Amino acid sequence: MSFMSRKLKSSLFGYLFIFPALIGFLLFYAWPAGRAVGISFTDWNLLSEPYYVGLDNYVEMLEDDQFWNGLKLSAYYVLLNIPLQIMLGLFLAVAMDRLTKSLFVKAAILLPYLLSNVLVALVWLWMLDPILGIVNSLVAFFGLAPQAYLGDPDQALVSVAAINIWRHMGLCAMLFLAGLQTIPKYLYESASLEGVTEFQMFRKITLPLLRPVMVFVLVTSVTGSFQIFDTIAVTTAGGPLDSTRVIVYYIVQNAFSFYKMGYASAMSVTLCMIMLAYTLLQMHIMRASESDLN
Amino acid sequence: MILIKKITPARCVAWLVLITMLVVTLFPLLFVAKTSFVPAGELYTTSTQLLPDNPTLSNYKKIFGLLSTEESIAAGGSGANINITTSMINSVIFTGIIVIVQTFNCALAAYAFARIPFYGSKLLFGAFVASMMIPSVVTLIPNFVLMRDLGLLNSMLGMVAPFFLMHGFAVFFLRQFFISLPKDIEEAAQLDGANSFMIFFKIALPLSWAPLMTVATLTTINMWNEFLWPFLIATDDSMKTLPVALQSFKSQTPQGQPDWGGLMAATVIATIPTIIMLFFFGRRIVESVQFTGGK
Amino acid sequence: MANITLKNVTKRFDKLETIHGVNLKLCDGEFVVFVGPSGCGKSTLLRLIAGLEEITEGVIEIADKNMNNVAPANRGVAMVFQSYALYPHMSVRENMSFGMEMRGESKENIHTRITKASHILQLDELLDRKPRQLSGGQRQRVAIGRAIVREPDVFLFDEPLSNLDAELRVDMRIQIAQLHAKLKTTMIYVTHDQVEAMTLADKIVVLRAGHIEQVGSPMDLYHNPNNAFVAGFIGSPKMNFLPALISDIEADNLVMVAFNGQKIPFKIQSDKLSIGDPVTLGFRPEHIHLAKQEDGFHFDITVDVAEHLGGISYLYSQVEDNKVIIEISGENLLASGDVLSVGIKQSDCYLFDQAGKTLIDRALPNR
Ligand SMILES: Nc1ncnc2c1ncn2[C@@H]1O[C@H](COP(=O)(O)OP(=O)(O)OP(=O)(O)O)[C@@H](O)[C@H]1O
Ligand SMILES: [Mg+2]
Repeated sequence: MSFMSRKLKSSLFGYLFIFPALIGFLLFYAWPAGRAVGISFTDWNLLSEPYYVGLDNYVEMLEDDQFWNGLKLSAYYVLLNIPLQIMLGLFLAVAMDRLTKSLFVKAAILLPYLLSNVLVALVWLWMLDPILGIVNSLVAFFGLAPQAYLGDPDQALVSVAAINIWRHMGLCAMLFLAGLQTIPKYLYESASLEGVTEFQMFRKITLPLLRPVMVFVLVTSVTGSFQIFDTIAVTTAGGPLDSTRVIVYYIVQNAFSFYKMGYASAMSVTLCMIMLAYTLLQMHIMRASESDLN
Repeated sequence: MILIKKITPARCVAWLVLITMLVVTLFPLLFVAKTSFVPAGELYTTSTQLLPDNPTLSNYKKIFGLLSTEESIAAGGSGANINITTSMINSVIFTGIIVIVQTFNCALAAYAFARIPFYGSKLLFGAFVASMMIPSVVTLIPNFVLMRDLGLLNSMLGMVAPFFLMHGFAVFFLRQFFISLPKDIEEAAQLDGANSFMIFFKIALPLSWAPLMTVATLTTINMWNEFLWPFLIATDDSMKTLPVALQSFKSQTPQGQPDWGGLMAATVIATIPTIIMLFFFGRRIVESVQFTGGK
Repeated sequence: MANITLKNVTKRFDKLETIHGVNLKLCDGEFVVFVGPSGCGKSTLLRLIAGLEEITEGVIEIADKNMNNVAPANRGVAMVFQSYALYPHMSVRENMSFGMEMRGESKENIHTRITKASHILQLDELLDRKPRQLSGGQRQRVAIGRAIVREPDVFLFDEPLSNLDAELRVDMRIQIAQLHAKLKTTMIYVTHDQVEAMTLADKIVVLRAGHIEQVGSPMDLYHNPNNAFVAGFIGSPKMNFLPALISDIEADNLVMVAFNGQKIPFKIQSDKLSIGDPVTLGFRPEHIHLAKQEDGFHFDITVDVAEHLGGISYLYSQVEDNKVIIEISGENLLASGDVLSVGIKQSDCYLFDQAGKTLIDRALPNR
């Protein structure tokens, strides 16, 4: 033992400790990520041998309207989803912070997030059923015309967004609530002594101090929403009329319905680049917005 | 101390918002529960009612396979089958293996990154963290091909493979915790003659129950709800997890239209484990979820 | 024989060198105290000896064996940490037995050693408690107990009493002194409380910025500090320093030091001084008299603040921008604003050159 330098010995231990995780990392993250790039340069239907085609898949991708449409729909979905989800979450968090510490309320608000996307999709598929669904009954009750929701090309993506807002609103609220509770109460007390109104307090104290949580929620929910798949697989399967064929759905379809592995990989690698660029940009902003507390 | 709070207009509005949100959150689930007790023929007539006219358990009998195919079609079934018991068991095994093995592996790795100086640790930790940023759809195809080549399609090993060894967030989160543990406790153990493994198992792990449970809770939520990967691997009914089984139950409509009663009964059954967990571990779950944004 | 030798021990953290080639010899059974201002490297030196940090250059020997590549557990050292570092999830008994179990000691052996140690430290009642159920002082005793049961060749203490309140500190200090008298094991003790240093040490090592300034017995350092830094560090309240001048040089290294218009001869150990050179005059607060002394300096002061502690009083004042503290024993009625004439004996004076090096060799008092 005394022959080995300490760093060498602790390195031995270090690698023993990380061994299982390292295998997992190499086998299921690093290698497949590299392999995806490799596959993207081939034409491959899983049955025959892959056939090297150079950049053909990328060229095809750039000329593929469905690809651009997928990206556009994903981006549109993010825009429909995120602002409302964050606003509702924030609203709920502030209300809960002021009114109740009840665990029941928290648990109930969080419940939809704890159910799987598939399950939530089924619930809303039923709720939004044009004939049997309660939503149309309510619409009729208010004297409005019944809608097709998930069956209507103009409404399908909005409906999917609404479903996901329902599922994630509670999560947002919980994250914001945690953020709110790190804001010291004396800030509000001293502000109210100075006669600041509640709304001003929210704008001048709460929102700025909530910025780190806000950035976190933004990053995770934007990248997450951009990759929406489950709900669409259950509710619309990309339809009607491709109106919900978002990018990940299109990629999975190419890979596992059309068996165009090379093309699907080319798109997924491109998606990865887009997500990476977005994350790096956000991290840049995040660094500029370190918490003002402590 | 009980404070009698002033009733202000703002507070009233806030309560109104909160209660509305609670209703919006819970009502759909109650409505689904109601539907699951409605006999096949009455779906339309009772669609606006809060309670069924003639409550029945036939939907539940159907999904638990207690009725023959003919009986089940007669009871409004689509003729499709869902092995809800099997898929529930699969979900438990799938989630259980991943949660236990992944948490343990990540704790080991996180401890090494936090405390053991080794060649390449900074680089590897950076790589582990970066793995969080890779969209799952990128690794999906190569991983699927790998499972196919290894003959692991339709096997539990194939289903847990990409998850159970490592997870970037868990390593990151636990490393933060291990760094915050007072170092001199471990140094005392070092002087007492414990090697890194003993320090990990006898000192660090016993002091880490709370963060380990947080990680395990989050992994449980994510894996219980995981859809795409098991959907690709488990094509055989006997291997499907709950979300996969629900999806295929929904999409098999031999009779032309979905069996709403059966589907809603299955939805209720699939919701029950979550409600039970929430009932027993509500605080832990809420706090774990909140933790993800706190760091 | 657990004597300890440090040869040219150097420690760098990355690029930053914090211990600069320290040489030190500690004898078996000595109680050695490391003192120095915060950040001077006391803890680092102790951790190098324990093996918790790897030395960058040099050699550490314990009992004449090179320890550079020996694991901490095999160096025959036991350490008591400032934070106690008890295992929070283990009972007192388990805390003490953990190390012995790691070493594979027999059950009976473990039992007898714990019984013995808990007897010495009066821990018998506490053996089944968890650390969080103990008071600070009790935790400290457990930490010491955990060190004792290992029967080490060397005990290492890193500011073990700094988390205790004043009264308990005195108590524990005495207990540690008794422990040393009983075990006669080599002990190295880090502190920046110079009362602890003076009362406990056989040998004090004064450190500054990663260098050893002086090594010696407490009285040695008190009477014969090598330099102004050690002089200022040992003794409480701190030594007073005032500027003076060499006014004349006579034969045999005899110089006249001028201060406040008075000239007094000193026998110095340097021949590098010339007439007109500035020097620093040092004198301890407890050596100032409220009367002019024959054969000594005297000057007038105005009391800024007077603190009366009962048996003792401290007077704070200012002489030409230099703070002067005076310690007077016995009760008195002095108050802020009073003007006093004070005197210091020549034999109580310390003298330092511009670089802070001592100029005179002061005789130790005879018994
Ligand atoms: N692990 C480390 N990495 C980098 N620098 C360190 C490390 N440990 C200590 N140092 C530096 O070494 C110097 C000496 O630190 P050390 O802890 O030995 O001081 P100390 O004399 O014990 O002070 P204190 O009385 O405050 O405990 C300090 O400047 C410190 O910043
Ligand atoms: Mg220290």
